[in-house]
Amino acid sequence: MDNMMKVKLSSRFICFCDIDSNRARSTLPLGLDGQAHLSYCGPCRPFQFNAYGGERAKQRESRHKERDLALGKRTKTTVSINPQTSKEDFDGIPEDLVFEIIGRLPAKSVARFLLVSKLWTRIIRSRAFIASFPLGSSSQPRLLIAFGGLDRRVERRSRRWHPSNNLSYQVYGNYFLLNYEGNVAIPFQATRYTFDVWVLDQDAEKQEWLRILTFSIEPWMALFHYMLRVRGITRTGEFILVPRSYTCNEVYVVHYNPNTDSFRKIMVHVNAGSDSRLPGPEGTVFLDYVESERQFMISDTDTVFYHFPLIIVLAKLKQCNHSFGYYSRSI
Amino acid sequence: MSKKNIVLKSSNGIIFEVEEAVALQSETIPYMIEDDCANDTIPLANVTGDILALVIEYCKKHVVVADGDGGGSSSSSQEDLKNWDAQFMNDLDQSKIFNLLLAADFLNIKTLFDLTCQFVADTMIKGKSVEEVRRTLNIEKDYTSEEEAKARQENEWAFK
Repeated sequence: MDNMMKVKLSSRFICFCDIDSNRARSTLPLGLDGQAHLSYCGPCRPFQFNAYGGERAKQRESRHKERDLALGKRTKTTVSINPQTSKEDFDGIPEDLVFEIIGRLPAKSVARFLLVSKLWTRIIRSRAFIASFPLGSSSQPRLLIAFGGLDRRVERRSRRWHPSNNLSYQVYGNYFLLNYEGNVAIPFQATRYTFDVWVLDQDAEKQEWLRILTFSIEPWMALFHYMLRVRGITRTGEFILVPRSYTCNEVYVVHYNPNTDSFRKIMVHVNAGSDSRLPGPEGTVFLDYVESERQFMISDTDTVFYHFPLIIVLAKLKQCNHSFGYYSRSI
Repeated sequence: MSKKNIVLKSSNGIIFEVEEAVALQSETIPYMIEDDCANDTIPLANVTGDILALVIEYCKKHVVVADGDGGGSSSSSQEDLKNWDAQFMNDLDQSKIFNLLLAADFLNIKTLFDLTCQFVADTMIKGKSVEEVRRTLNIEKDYTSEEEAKARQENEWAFK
């Protein structure tokens, strides 16, 4: 290529730059005879990335956009690295790639690596990260199972507050909205083991509820101890049912697939550390909850906020292996 | 059926000639092909020869399978491909892996990008201690010991 020009900036940094006066674009323009621009990744270290700060996903997006834009304009802005420096010159990966990598870790690792650096903390606590976590395995729902009144330190207080009563009242008393194939749906427990799914027909002139599905879990009743209720739906269309309460140190959820009429009981192993005592009956499951440092609050029907001391079991379902962790915290 | 070849040139001037289907797994290259300057050779000045060779090896493997099963990919070939991917990544040293990750990002090869990200996450970071991660990724500790102790206490469960 005769339009390739080798530019030597210093003894440690060599750039190959595509010179094209009309098209060149760069993030860090350096004038070369007023003609060409050249971009580079930082002083002498190939992977140093300078953009620390700002929202991660946006940055990644804009970086890609910029790249696409540049390419769309038929520009070959070329960044280069001294080809000799592949071994020892590793100095860190671009922030947007850090985002991608952390997003593929289990929740427990993510929480641990809040300590790695301030940058990592910022990434992990960012809205963009929380919204997109976990990356990679998209079809698996995330569950948060919260149990009240387990922490010995706060046991007394929790008794006084009776959080479990509030929880039962508030969570169990409500209908639960689902996103069923893009429509607003409500699961209705018709009998002990039968569920109807009603969908709001938004296309009709007068919006009305249509019963579109009925299923029974009676054939599998031996597998669970308590009555189940529908708490959500996976992206693959399976209904997620959870028991009214947990017992016997057995934490599980159930997936019902209406297409194949099959039923899966998914155990959540709980690693309780030194305290292996498990939850009382107040377990409450939240779907697609993302572990974060944000305040965890539950509102009751009067929109009053209660601050509960909770023990939280974080369950991330991943195929048949469930990773988990639990920690206590007064909120 | 005539197969069109595409010539890629690495940053250090190494030339690779590959079938179009192999190169087009990159979503970046099509833009470059449109460029009249790139009629004969596409310069990839972000990617060194040794890394480009790996990228091409990966793309070749994956294009063959896509061709071979003619639509419905059987589970065994998927399985084979998975094993091949694992072996492919396992044979690389750390510096190659990071360079490959950057190349996959630049060339926009979705599957390779996912593979390398997941590999880095699983093998270099997941089970490691905070200190080990800092060392692996060459990250400077910018928390004071007090801040670190406090944060550790807040997220105690994650360290068990």
